[in-house]
Amino acid sequence: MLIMNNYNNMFNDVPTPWGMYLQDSASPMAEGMLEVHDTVMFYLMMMLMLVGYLTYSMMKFNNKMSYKYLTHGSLLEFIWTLFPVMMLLLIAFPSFMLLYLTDDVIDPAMTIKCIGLQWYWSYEYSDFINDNGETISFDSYMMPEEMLEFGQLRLLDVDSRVVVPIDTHIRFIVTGGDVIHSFTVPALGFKVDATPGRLLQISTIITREGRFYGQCSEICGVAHSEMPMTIEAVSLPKFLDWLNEQ
Amino acid sequence: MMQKNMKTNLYQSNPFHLVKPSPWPMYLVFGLFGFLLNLTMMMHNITDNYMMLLINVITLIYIGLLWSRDIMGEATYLGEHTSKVSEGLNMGFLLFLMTELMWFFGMFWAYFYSALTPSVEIGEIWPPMSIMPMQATDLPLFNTLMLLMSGATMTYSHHALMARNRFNSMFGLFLTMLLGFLFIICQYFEYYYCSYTLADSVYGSVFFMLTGLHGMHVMTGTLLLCLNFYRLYNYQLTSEKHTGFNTSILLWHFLDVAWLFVYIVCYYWGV
Amino acid sequence: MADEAELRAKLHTFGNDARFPDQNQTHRCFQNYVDYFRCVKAKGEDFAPCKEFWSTYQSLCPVSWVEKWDEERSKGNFPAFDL
Repeated sequence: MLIMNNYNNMFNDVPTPWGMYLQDSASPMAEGMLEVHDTVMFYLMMMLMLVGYLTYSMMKFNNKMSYKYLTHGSLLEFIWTLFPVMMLLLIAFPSFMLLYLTDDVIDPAMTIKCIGLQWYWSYEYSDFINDNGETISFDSYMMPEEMLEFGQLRLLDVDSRVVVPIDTHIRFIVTGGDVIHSFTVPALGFKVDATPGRLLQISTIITREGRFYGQCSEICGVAHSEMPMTIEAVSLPKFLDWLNEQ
Repeated sequence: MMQKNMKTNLYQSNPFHLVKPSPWPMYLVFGLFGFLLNLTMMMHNITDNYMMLLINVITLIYIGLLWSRDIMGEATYLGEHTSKVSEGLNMGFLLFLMTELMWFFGMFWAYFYSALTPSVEIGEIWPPMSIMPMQATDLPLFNTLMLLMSGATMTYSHHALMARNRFNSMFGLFLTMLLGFLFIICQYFEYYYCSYTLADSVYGSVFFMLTGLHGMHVMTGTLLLCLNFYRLYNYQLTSEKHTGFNTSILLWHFLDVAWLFVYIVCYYWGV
Repeated sequence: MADEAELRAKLHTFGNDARFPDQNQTHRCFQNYVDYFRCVKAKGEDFAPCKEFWSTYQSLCPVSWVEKWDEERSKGNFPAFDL
C-alpha cells in the first residue's frame, strides 16, 4: 500500500480554475516557500482569533471591557507593543532564512540563459556547443489556441519547451532584451525580473519529472499574457538524448 | 453694506495675512508649463527654436517680478507682514530649503550610483572612456573661490544692515551680486568649452544635472539679491525687520555649501 | 549508478566567484569577457588558463551581448582600456 501510494502521486503543476491555493512544489526552494507560507498563516490565524475574540467580547460585554477612566496603562501598552514585535520576529526569521537560501547558487552543473523579449522567451544552453561551434539556443513562443494539441494548456504551452534534467543543480541566468519581463515558475518557486542590461541568477534542483508552467509577471506590453514559459523536467539520460538532437 | 465691509476690514482680530485673489500663481503655472514643454521638445530634437524658450524664461521672470512687487507692497506699504506672518514665511522658506536639500540629495545619489559601480555599458570605469573631465584646479577652483567670497560679502552686507549702515550693506550686497553674476558667466564658459555634453553617457547626464541644478539656483539667487538691492535702495529693509533679505541670505549660503559638495564630488573626486 | 555518474560528468558549468556573491551577475560577465581578451593579449591564444575566462563568459553572457561587444572591439569603440 505504501509503495502504491508512492507511485500514484498526482501533482498539481498548473493553475486550476478558481484555484485558491498554491501549486505543488517541484524544488526545495518552492518547498521552503510553502513552508514559510504555512508558518505565516499559522501566526496569522492566531492573530485573527485573538483580535476577533477581543472585538467580539468588547461588543458583547460592553460594560465590562470598556472602562472610561482607564486613560493610560504602561503595562498594557508594553504588552500590546511587545506581543506584535514577537509575532513579527517569528514571521520574519523563517522568511529571512529562506530569502538568503534562495539567493545562494552553490554548485551548479549547468547554466541556462533565459532572455525575455517582446513577446516570447529565448533560451540559450551555452555550456554545450554543437558540431558547428554554435551554442544551443532557441526561441519559445506560445502555442496559438487553434494549434493546441489534446492535453495542452491554453495560454500556457509553448512550441519549444525548456528541457532540463531532474536531480541536477541548474543555474538560470535571467535577463531582458527590450523591456522588463519576469521569469516566473510557481512550481519551482521562481520569480526573477528580466531586466535589460542586467543578469540575474537563480538556481534550482528539480525533484521530479513533469511539466511546469509559468507566465511573464511584469507587465511588458500588449502580449504580456501571451509569453508563457514551459519547463519540461526529464531524467538525465533523456535530457542528454534531447541535447544530442539539438 | 459696502461701508460695513470696509469697516470690518479695518478691525482684523487675528495676526495673519489673509491673501486676496491673485492672478500670479495661475500665470506662473502656465509659464512653467510652456517652459517645460519647450525644454522637453528641444531636448528631444522636436524643435530647435531657442527663441520660444527665451520667451518662456522672460515670461517667468516677468511674472515672478510682478508677484514680488505685490508681496513687497503687502509687506512694506500695507503692513500685512506682522511678526506672526514673518515667522510663517521663514518657516515656509526653511521647508522649501528642505525640499531643495532632498533634490540635491537625489542628484548626488544618482551620481554616486553611477560612479561607484560603473555599469558595463560604460566599461566599468569612471569617468567613462574618452570623456575628458574638467580640470579641478582651473576654472572650477576659481568659481569655488568666488562663491565662497560671495558668502563672506553676503554676511558683511547682512551685518552692516543690522548695524544700520546702509551704504556698507548695499556695497556688500552689490559685491555679492557681482560675484554671483561672475560665477554664472564662468559657468557659461565652462559649459561652452566643455568637451562632453548632456547626452554623452551617464557621466554627462549626472554632471550637467548636478552642476546645472546648482547653476539654475545661483541664477535665481542672484535675481533675489537684485530684488533685495532694489528694496534696500528704496529704504524698504530695516535693521530690525528684513524677512525677504534673511531668506535670500539663507538660500545663498545653502547654495554655497551645495557648491562645495558639487565641486568636491563632480570636479575633484569623480575624475 | 556508475552509468549515472558518467552521464553526470558530461554536465559542467562555471562555478562561483567570491567577487560576485550577489544575484546580480552582470559585472561578472563583463569582467570575464575583458579578462579573456587581456589574457590572450598577454599570454597568447594557446595559454590554457585563458580558456577558463572564455568558458565562463560564454556560459554567462547572452549571445547578443557578446556579439555586440565583439563588434565594438572590431570597430575600436569598446569602452575598456587595454583592448
